[in-house]
Amino acid sequence: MPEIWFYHLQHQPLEKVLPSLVEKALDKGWRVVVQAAAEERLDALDDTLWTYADASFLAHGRARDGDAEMQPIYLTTGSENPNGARLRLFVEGADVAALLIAEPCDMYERMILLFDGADEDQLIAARMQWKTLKGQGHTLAYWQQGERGGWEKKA
Amino acid sequence: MKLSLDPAMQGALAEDSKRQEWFETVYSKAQEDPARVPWANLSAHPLTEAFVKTQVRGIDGLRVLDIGCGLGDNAECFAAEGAQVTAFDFVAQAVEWAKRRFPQTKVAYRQADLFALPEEWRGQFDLVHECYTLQAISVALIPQALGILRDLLAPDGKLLIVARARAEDEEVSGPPWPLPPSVFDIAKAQGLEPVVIEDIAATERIGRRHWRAVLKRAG
Ligand SMILES: C[S@@+](CC[C@H](N)C(=O)[O-])C[C@H]1O[C@@H](n2cnc3c(N)ncnc32)[C@H](O)[C@@H]1O
Repeated sequence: MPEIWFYHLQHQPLEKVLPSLVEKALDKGWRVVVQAAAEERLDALDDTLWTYADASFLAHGRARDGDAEMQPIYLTTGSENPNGARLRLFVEGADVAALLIAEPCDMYERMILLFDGADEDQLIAARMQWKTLKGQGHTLAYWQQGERGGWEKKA
Repeated sequence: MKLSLDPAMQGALAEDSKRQEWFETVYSKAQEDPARVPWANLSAHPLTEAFVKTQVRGIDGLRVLDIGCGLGDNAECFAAEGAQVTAFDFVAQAVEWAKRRFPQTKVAYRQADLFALPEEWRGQFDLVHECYTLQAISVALIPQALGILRDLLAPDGKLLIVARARAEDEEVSGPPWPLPPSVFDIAKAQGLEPVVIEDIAATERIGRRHWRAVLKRAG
């Protein structure tokens, strides 16, 4: 079973944090799925990944692009893992617990739920996820972002 | 689509623009010492290896062609995962050396020139792999080379490119000539559509900016 990390965003928006997380995973040889709760969110992430740095971009695809099994990074609102990702990121309310029940998850090394501390809904949802997953006996860790953007493990 | 494997077209090539003599000299001066072949790491390229390892359906049984195979490590990496691999280089010494390094190999190594390939290879490969060969040939030959690579692909075949990358306006003093983004426009004009183009920033493991791109036949 994958380890499940909670990332509490405080000093940087998702658009800043996501590319660096994804880059680190790719560098490890892991592919990535990013799961969001809504298609509009994916549109915004789509843009972010193409434009986050002047000199480079992160190649990614969605179901409508085809060739999903070739994508290093796959964006979805669904539960599929067509590219054999080892890391799955959950953003803005995407439900980790529901996925773990619905799908076999042995191929993942890690799942990370990212939530924005300034957004009350996301905060509440993350707390509920934590409780549910803890109750199901998963290995959880909680990371908070320091002022300089680094991550500290708090639980 | 023009038939770029057409022998009439190959005749038009100035011999030295292919830099064959230069490559022959590198391999012969090396006298069996891989340390003297600048690109010979004696292991598969990490970006190629990671590609092979992350294919969801695996590559078992795929017909793979490795172009400009050098000492064979990339070809062996595909073969180790069950692909049926053909690998060629236009330097005979490189090919012989690769065969000696892998006496038990399942790879079919042979000497061949990218610009004069056997006609029967046309449309025969599920995956054509090039690592650092496009960046080693003269810029003027790139469109033709891409057209040839396209012609080698089976209808659902893919071309995997692993090459050093540069910004469009960055000065280069090759060889090698790292590939600018516009190489993918040239590929498009030669009937190769992008499936994934990865722009990989320099990391500790991979010292410089690279492209890892998968292209497929258009249409
Ligand atoms: C920079 S080396 C890379 C070798 C190998 N692919 C690797 O990654 O280690 C380029 C290789 O392509 C071969 N080559 C260059 N032009 C070629 C051509 N027109 N036909 C066949 N081989 C060629 C050279 O002899 C050389 O071995």
